[in-house]
Amino acid sequence: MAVARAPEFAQRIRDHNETFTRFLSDPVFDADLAADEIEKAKMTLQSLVRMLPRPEKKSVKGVLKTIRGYENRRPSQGELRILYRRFIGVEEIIKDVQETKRWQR
Amino acid sequence: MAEIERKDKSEAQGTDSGSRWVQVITKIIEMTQDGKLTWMSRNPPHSLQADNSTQKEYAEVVFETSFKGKTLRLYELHFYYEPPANLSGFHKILEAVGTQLKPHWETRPVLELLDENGLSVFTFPYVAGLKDLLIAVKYQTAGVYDLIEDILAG
Repeated sequence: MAVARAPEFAQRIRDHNETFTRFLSDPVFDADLAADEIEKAKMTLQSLVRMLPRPEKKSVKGVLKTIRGYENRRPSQGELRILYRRFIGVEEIIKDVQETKRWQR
Repeated sequence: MAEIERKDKSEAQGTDSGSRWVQVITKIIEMTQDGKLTWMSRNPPHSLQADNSTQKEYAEVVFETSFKGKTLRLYELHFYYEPPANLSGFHKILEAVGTQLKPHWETRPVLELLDENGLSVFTFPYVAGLKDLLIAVKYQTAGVYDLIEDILAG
């Protein structure tokens, strides 16, 4: 079950990263849209974290902590850039876990 | 042993864009978004032009930029994927979870370093963020900023 959902999570994280990139590339930064996307990304991470082995779980929890720092306010472009870098790290983690087949059931 | 190596790798990565290659791509994305790198669209080289129906890979357009005397070329490679003729048990599992294993067209971003003659001398590894670089470059070269300015002025 968990293994079957791995590609789904990989795609969802990819989609979040593409959306973050669009926001960061857009000459007019829309903080409201960015806040909405961060909220969706938080929910993805909350589901993902349960399926990861311990070291990776700790890393993703760190990203969730970063997101909580942006709650109830609109992020700046700089903050979104920091979050994007961390999400790229999450994408690499998922790839690594997929390759080594260490998903938690 | 392998577990320790994975742990070390994971801790070194944290979640801040793990490998050095990812850091490089992330930096190029940021320089593009900040306008520190200016990309230009160009016709693809002959080897990547879709000039006949038997060609199994092509690019519609390529983007080039210069940085400290070096030229980078980025493009979306369209390629025809043909799976191995005899599917193993592992491939059958992949098919069961939705991975497409019939021959089909796919795309993948490619970033290359060119020499002074415009020939590719190095291809960057395919890492997370390369697709995002293509998005950032398309935003820049499509002139989205100018368009918005024109519409608002208009």
